[in-house]
Amino acid sequence: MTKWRTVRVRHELVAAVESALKTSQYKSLSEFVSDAVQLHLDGLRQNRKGNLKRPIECPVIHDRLLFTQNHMWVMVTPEGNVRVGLSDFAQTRMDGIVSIQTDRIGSEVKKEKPFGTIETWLFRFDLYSPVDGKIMKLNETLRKEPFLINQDPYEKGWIAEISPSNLVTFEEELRDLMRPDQYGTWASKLQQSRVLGT
Amino acid sequence: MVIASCASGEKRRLPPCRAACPSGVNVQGYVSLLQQGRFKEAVELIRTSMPFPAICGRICVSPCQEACSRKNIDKPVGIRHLKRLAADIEREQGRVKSNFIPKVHSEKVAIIGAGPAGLTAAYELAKLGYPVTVFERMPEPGGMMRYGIPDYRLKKYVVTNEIAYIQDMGVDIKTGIEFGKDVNLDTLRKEGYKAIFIAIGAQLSSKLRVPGEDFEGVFHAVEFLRLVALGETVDIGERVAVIGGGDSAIDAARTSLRLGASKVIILYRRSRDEMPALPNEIEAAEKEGVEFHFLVTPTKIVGEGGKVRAIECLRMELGEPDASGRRRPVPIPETEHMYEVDTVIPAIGQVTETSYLPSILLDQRTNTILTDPLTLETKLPDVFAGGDVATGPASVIEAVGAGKRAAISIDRYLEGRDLSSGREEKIEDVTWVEDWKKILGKPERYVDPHTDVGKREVTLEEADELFAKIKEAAKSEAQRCLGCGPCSECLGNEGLCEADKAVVDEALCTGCNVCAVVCPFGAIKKDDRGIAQVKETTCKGCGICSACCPERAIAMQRFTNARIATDVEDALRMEFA
Repeated sequence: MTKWRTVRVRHELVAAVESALKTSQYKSLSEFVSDAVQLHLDGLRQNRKGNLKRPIECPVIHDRLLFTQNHMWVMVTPEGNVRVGLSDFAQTRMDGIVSIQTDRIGSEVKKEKPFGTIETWLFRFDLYSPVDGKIMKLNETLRKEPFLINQDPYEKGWIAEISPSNLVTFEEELRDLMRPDQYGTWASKLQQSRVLGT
Repeated sequence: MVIASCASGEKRRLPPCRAACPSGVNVQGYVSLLQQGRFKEAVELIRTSMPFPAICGRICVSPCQEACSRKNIDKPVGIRHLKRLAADIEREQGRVKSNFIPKVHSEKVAIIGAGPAGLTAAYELAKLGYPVTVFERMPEPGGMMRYGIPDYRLKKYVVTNEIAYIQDMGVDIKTGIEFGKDVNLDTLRKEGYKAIFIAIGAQLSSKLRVPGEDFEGVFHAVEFLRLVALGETVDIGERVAVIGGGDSAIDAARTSLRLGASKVIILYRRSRDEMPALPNEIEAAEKEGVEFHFLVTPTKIVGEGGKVRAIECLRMELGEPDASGRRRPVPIPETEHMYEVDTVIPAIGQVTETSYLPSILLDQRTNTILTDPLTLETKLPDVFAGGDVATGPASVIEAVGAGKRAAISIDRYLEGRDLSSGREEKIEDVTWVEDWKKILGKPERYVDPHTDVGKREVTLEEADELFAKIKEAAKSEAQRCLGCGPCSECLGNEGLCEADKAVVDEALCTGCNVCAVVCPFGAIKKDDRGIAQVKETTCKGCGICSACCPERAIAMQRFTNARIATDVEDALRMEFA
């Protein structure tokens, strides 16, 4: 509950209030004041939203990619493998990536099970495979330059290429994934709930 | 080499933490900022004194914590851990980049050795606008921070990151260049370097000097740790004996376990209380299963076919104290016994490689470079030296302090100013508590809550919550600081407080000395006429003397009565305009 404080009022303000009351826009001084305060608070709320670290907008997306609910992007290569990486939305929440560890080339991976970890200065995040399969290639530049995932998550920061084990179910699995616009909407909702929750 | 004497005997008063730091980091200042949750400003304050907050936050020997007043109540404030948290929190929010600093001087400076001493000197000189080149013989910079401290204590990405900050400022680091082979003092001078700072450290292991030391299976600690850091395979056997009681011995032992040794023992010639290694490192080694054998010393390494098979030792007992103050171990005759091992790692000390240094620089007794401890000058006027190469093996933070002193000396030398005047500063550590017995509690040594802060697998959602919790934890720990010293100088003279000065009206002063006694900073002394004199550089403008002077002889320069009157008039005028 706010405490009432005595406030000195300047001459101009007193004049403005008197004229507002005369024209019967407000019935009393206190109504005038509470309206003014409300307007001011609304303005502050708008400003606060604008000053957040990242505005609520669609994250950067590429058109031919698909997205998982674990924030991984998926692209099918000409050889029929699945190239994966971390979405831009996710990498903004993992600023300051210092290293990435994954299972070795040749390892089996399972859909929606972790196949690696990304390490920031304070935390570790699991990386989830979007399909069943085997790791065929790993982005070796990430060993020395893991921050590429932050700088260029869709191109230079690609993480691994997986060969899907069952091509029949693979098609269906791809259909379950989100298109860029769907992911964008879903990610924005997550961002909003996070912002308003804090 | 002249050591300036401190004529006036005036001391600068600092809290015990700041007085204990060899690099002069403003400990009380950044802890005060952390109390308010001002993480970015805290890290920036640390960086005014030294460039390695994330590194020292992990591995510093922390003399500040040993000196912290809070230890007399419960546990000392976790200063090192706070430094680490501040650095990590800053970096968790994105890559930290420094600004390129334009060169204002044209004199080039060469620094030999990209270890803590060399890099700190480079950092300070770059801030002053000098073009600096660091020559390093290993493939990557870092010195002992990278090649001496094992990865589990200090991850390599931390070292790379902190050094990148210095490089972004415009410092040029050339690796793979060996002093004595690729460059030497003459070639550097010919290339136009006007001053040279030698900070090559102590890169050789001390030898045990027992028979069998050249058998296969004997790895001297410094070389062993360096090979592991370079990523090379080291053929550690199953049963390892490490000789020594310092941090290198513990590092070698714990590294051996991680390389797959099934049994690791440490043989130390004194008792547990005299072990110089960090206590939490000793405990960690014990928890991992390293066996400690005290009061034994090796006499012979037994081999078969040129390979280590066992090590023979004698039992010792402690006799009279030696020069270091520790009781000297005395062998007990006829107590020979064997430990069956296939690997021996002597970790009994480090020595400098001096074969390619000009002999004029050397102190023949200690085999280090002879330097003036204050200015770090050597017998050659354009050559300075600091860190382990001048003092013998010491800690990272002492090397950082040496780097700072060298930078000041080199700056003065290149500008033709006197190297030592005004630098001899006597420091007195001061707390407001007079008798700790009145605030009693059992002193406990501070133990880091966990070695890897908050590094658990988390989801994106959990990360935010945990991040907020980590910041709260840092604030609460910082709030344990008693603020026992005088003004914390959190941001120097900028921003927070308006610096003021006390002015004595000599006509009114009666020489009662109240002001000198109440001044928390020791800034007032009576001169030979008996009149109080305020030392401008020490006066912090707190106003206590002015308030206490019975004759009202002291006024504050800024907040004079006249000014207060005009300020009030202005405020009233604006109010009723």
